[in-house]
Amino acid sequence: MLISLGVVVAVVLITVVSIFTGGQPTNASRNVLVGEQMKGFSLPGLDGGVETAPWTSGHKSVLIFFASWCGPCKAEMPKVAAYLRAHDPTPVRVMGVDVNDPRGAGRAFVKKDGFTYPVAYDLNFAVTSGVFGFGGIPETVFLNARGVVVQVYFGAIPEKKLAQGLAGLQSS
Amino acid sequence: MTISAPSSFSTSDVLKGYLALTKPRIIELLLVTTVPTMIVAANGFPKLWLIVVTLIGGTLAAGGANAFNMVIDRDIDAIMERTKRRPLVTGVMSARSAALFAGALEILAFVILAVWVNELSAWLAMSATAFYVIVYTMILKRRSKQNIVIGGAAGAVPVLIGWSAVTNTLGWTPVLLFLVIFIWTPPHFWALAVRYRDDYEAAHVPMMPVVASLRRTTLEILVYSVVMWALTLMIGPSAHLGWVYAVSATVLGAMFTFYALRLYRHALVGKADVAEAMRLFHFSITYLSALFILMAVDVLVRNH
Repeated sequence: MLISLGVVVAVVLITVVSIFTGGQPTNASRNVLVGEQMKGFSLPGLDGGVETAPWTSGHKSVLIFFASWCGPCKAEMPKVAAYLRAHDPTPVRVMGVDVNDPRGAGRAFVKKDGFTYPVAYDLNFAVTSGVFGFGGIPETVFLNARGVVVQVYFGAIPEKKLAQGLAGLQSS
Repeated sequence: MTISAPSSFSTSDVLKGYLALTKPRIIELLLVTTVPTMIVAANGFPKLWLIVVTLIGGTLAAGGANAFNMVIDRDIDAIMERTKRRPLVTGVMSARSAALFAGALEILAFVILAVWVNELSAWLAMSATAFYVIVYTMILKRRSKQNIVIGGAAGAVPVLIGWSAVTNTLGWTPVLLFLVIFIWTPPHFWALAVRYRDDYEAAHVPMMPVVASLRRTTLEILVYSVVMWALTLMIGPSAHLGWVYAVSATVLGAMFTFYALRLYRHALVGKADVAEAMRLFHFSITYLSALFILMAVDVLVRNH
């Protein structure tokens, strides 16, 4: 009888990994996101209407997850907004994601710093945790036109990293 | 560590000997799998310094493991025609010097990976060395006909290191890449062992072709080839690769299986076909290199 040991080991390993990961790629760590194709989403806009994931319409994008209650976000947002005013991100679509915030507080937060891009309103972490698997903010995610994550930055993003991420997308 | 040469050897002989201890040819294959893995992990070109540091760390770790292997195997290397020119057989340095050299390489590899890459990569490299030296060389190689099957896992770890260097985690895709190399290893070495069967027999190493019939060995090779083909096709969906990879994996897998099938059919009619086995052996190297390089090409093409 032919039983190939290597094949048995391979099957066992695949079984073990699928048990540990529930058969799905884990997003437990943000690094795992790099290279992952993200599902599309639609959320209410902070100012009404509906905001849809930019890659569902084939646009490269940068998503900035923030909230008015988040300390590092308060430090980050003025710099991000100022950088984006000074440097046109076209053709990259910039989208904010306001996480678990009272609507009024979120609006005041972006208005104060002059962040003029669309903001999706993620009241229950549906996208923040459900799609991206984030356990904390701020997070900045750079995605290509197909919605594949190119880069993730955890924490208040320095201007240099934002510039590099945008330039990377613009030149790709 | 002192490098002291017996008077009959020149300094250049000794230096070449130390280089030979690391089995540079095996390391080449390690590089050709690691860089494309890093490109797939990063979904583009990772930073150049990260590639360079990871390769240096991985190379030193593998070189150290190979040197340990030569220290332990110097008795059988002396018996086998293929290996009797190895430095510890010719006596260009002492076993003690070689072991110290190997240990130094491992320490250096660990420090480089831990400081400039990440701890996960450093520990993966050390586990691969420990596995190769202890589980394969010391325990399995001389006792089990499945030696290369289990031992081959060490040679598959570099893709895990490459992946973790970029992402600091592991996941489905690196596990599949690991399995491809893991399943690739037995047919690769068994094909070589068909050619050098007498050598292994003389040294009492129970490689598959020594202890099993040629028919059984070549059937095993065929089974592994088909399983490997299937695994490579799973990587596409897992890593979100495109048609460049899909076509490459399909065609390369078909070719590998074709060579394996031809070898098996020759064995069925009782031909101990050494030339056919070496054809598969040489193709297996081309196969793995091409598969990984085209995987990287796929990523880079799609991102432009």
